[in-house]
Amino acid sequence: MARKQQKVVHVHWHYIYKRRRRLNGVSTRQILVGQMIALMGSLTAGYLLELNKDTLLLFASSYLLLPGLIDLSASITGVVCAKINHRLELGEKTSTVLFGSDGFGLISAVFSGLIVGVTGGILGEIFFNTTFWQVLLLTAFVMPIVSIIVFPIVNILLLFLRKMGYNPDNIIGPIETGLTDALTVFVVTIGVRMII
Amino acid sequence: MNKQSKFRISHAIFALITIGVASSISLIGGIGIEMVNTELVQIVPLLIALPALNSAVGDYATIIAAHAGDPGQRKRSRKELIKAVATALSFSITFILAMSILLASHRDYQFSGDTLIKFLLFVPISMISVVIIMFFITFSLDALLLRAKWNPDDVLIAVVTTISDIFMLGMIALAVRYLF
Repeated sequence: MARKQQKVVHVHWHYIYKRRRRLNGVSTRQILVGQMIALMGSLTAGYLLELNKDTLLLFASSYLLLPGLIDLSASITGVVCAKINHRLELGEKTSTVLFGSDGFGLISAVFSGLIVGVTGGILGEIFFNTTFWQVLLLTAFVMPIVSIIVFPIVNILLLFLRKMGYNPDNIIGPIETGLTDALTVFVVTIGVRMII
Repeated sequence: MNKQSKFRISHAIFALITIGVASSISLIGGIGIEMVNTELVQIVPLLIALPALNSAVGDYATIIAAHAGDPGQRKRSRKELIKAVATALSFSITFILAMSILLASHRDYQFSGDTLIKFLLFVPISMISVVIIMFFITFSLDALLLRAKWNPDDVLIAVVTTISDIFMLGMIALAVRYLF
């Protein structure tokens, strides 16, 4: 009995030690794997940028908006993933969590997109002679579409990772960064083609 | 509407505004890129590398800020952090350089010796300098916030990722105008 108790204590502390190392230690391998995945997506975004550079040049302010829109898409998707994972950890019903978190993400995309659109529109009017409403329209077009495409993909991926026993918080970040980078550039190009 | 619902709604609105404002600040970097867009599109490898450079420095800024604010382990984790970031950064630089040159060649971009050397020098110098600046900003802010008895975790990541975005895009815009 005593030996069994001793073994349980040993296993427990071994687990705690390993967990602390995982949480506090800086793992070069984890950073490298994350970077590799994220850079693949970002370089795809760069390639798409190169393929559509002439279209984007036709719309003054497209290059002004791109960093803000890419940043916003990645932030909102990151928030949605974290929200879903943590609510599932608390044992809430999957369908309720997905519906609630994706809904919050979509509202965030529209509302925060409007803030970026208004700021971009004002900057575009002041510095680049663009029409305020066109910039706002482009942002209002891009953000919901990126969200509608990205959310189901990350939802499925997140549920799959959880089922496989991985912690999505450690893996999904670089994947969603790469995915949103490429997708945002693609949707901005489509938006510009529709507006001009 | 009860008190808890009111709190949740005001919390959600605050989060939405914060995300929107943080992304709007990234537009400062966008002004630089928009100003040089016609010259930038002619430097194909740099155009392909642009989102990767921006994302990579943002990721490193997040990693630095997240680990620098790790309470109780500051000295040990800083040494580990510098070592890990140096190794990973050298990989990221090599990967970005190799892939953007490869993709630019695939798009039939004719490299002149001069452009190639400038590109090979610009990517590592810009990334290393932004990461070094981020180390200094993070550690100084961390010390300041601790002295003011604020939790660095609440503020550091948002501040340093925005600064890193502006620095990187600013450096690219300056390089396009004056270097290439």
